[in-house]
Amino acid sequence: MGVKQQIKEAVELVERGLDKNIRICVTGLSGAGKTAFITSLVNQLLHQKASTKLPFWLAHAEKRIMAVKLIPYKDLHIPEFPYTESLESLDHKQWPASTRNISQIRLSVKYEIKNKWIRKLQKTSHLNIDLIDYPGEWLLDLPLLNLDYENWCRLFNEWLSKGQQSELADQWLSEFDDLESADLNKANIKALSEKFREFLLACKSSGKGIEFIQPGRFVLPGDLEGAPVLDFFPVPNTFSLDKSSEAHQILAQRFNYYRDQVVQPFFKEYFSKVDRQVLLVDVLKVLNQGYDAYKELQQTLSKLVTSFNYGQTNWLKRMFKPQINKLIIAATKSDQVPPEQHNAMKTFLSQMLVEAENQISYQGVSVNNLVFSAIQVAEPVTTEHQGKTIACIKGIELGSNKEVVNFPGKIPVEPMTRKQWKEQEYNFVNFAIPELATNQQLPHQRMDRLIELLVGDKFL
Amino acid sequence: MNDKPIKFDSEQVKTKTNTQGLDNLDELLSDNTKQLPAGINSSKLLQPKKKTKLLKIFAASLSLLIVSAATYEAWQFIQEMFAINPILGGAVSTLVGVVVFTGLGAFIKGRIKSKRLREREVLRESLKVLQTNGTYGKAKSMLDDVSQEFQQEVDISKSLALYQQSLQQSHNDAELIQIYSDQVLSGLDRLALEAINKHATESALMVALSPLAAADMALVAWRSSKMLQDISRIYGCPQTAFGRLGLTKQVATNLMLAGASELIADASVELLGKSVAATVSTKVAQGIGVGILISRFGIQTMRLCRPIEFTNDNKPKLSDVRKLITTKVISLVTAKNKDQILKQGEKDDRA
Repeated sequence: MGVKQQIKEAVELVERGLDKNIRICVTGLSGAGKTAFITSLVNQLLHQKASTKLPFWLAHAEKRIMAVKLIPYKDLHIPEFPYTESLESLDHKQWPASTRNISQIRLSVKYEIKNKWIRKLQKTSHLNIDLIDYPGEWLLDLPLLNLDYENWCRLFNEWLSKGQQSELADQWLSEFDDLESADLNKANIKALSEKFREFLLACKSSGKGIEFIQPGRFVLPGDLEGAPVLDFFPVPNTFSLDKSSEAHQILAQRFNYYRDQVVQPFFKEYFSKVDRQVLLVDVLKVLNQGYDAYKELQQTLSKLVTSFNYGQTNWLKRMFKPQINKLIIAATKSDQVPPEQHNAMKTFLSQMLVEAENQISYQGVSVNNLVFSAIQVAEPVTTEHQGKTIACIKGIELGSNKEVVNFPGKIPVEPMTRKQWKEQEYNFVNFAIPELATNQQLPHQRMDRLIELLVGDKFL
Repeated sequence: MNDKPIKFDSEQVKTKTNTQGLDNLDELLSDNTKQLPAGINSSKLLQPKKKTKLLKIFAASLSLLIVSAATYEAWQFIQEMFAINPILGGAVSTLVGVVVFTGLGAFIKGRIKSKRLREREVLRESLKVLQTNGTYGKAKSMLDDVSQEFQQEVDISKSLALYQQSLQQSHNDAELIQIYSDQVLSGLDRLALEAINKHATESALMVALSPLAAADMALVAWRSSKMLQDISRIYGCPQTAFGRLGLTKQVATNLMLAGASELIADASVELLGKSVAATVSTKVAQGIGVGILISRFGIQTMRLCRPIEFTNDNKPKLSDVRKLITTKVISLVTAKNKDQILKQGEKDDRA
């Protein structure tokens, strides 16, 4: 009896040691391709059985993956990721709708154990993978957690003075022109907040690569639509408001409420217990948009990524005891780029985020770079042009719905100066969904590498 | 530099679907290949120039002398035969002709296949460069050539089909090479390991059972030569008897030059095998020692023949072979002892 009991305990201990749950947070600014990524990931895993297109997922290549299925998760208050709906929209040649709220999906992977010591105890095991999707807009609230209202105003004014956003701000700033600080009351705070929101929405829809749009709920309020917590704005430099004035206190109070009651619970709930993080970056968009957009994206991502760093004084450390031990920074939409340039694309990505990566690696988190395409909708071809062979991409252009053969320009392998950015032009074309068989494995580029990087080491 | 983006209407231009392996991509690749990863130890000691000029002239003139002497002798022989009888002369000259042609043919054919081994080294180096440089579209044709060489000796159609299916247009050279290594070469590695296992256990048993110590040497030489032939055939570069001598020399040099750490690891495995075996008998211990030596030989041969270098994950380990040899030899010898005891018992019964 005693021996049996001991063996049972040992087995339990091993099972606990092999954490069978892994929580993956998919991070990325809006439009980076999070929804397409999760849809494709779920699709690849569910269709792994007969697939020959996953050679770099080692456990799969070793034929150790027995079965994968979707299972219900325990956090019942979180909506489910709309996997079926996404597939359906692909079926109707539409890209899945952009995320408007948080959602989650859980997959269970049953696999054969390879490790010869653990095999003595059990032959098979399973791994539960939780994937969390949420609007990229909300992510930008993360740096707010470190700020108070005055500091936020200062940083906002710094941001406002630069780049494309300064032009768009004129209309909102003009509202302050004939306003005395004493006149500021609850009524016109609401009106000004409304105008501020309009300005932020204008920034987002400008298409000029303005990324750092804070606070995120102003452009995508979710269930906060119309709530008074969203009625605040930063005080612009052109307007003087006494710190002890009532209006300032109202603004600061609402800012604090937003920070403490909206942002903090959100990140605390969904980012604690996260084991791995994928940061999706659309580098092609900034290549199209030019130097200002590049700088903006670089700064935005650096701020975000380093908000996750685990230094002693960091709020994240204090709050959640984070366990994130792996960060994958991946450039999406590689199918818009001829394959011979994928390497350059990867170099471009890592150069853009080199400082942020350094900081994170220093904390002992492993950082990987990757270039991939979740759903491949265009194919690489070559064509003759002026007697030279050029590598192009053939696909159906989004918008015009015409089939085009596109040479997007050459991605640099060395960082470009402002002048080079001006001289070099890019034209990466967004492609529409072609005829796809959605009841089988979706075509992809390097999803298998991503799976291996994300969860490969968990298949013991 | 003409890197401006261009967009065509797909009906107005001719396109070619990208198969992996475009020939004229050099211009596109040139910038990528400029970037060499830092920290690769690329310095290497050059082979000393072995033959001096004098030696070369000596070898050439000596062989010329021998060939001319042989031709002269043959000529005289044929003439003598003709003098005896024209029919006899005719028969002898045809015979000489056949001998010369078949001999030359076999020699050249063997040379061509043997030469592949030397080409393998070059290929290995260039594939390694492709793997580190992140190029695109260059490896495919090289790997296809190697596949052809394999197919002359081994049936790899299934794994080759799997490899073709796994390929995607987006895979770069490094990815391509890795897939090839995982899906095609791993099968050959398994075959080669089986061959090593077979020959190593065989010779371990022979040595363990052979009554004559002098015969051991011959046994080892014979079995190891046979094993080299098998392994080189598995990897599509079969060696002639002559080539096998060269290969043996190469393998032996490599064994000697193997890193100290590897030697220590190997030695500990050997010691472990022997200490277990020595408790049974010294002859058995010798057998196991020989078996392990032969498997080391085999693994080194694999390394020389394989077109893609082993990585830490897939390199064959001596310990796997060692266990098999030890158990086989010991089980056999103990069985033999049992027989002897039984026979002894029967004798005693009769007496």
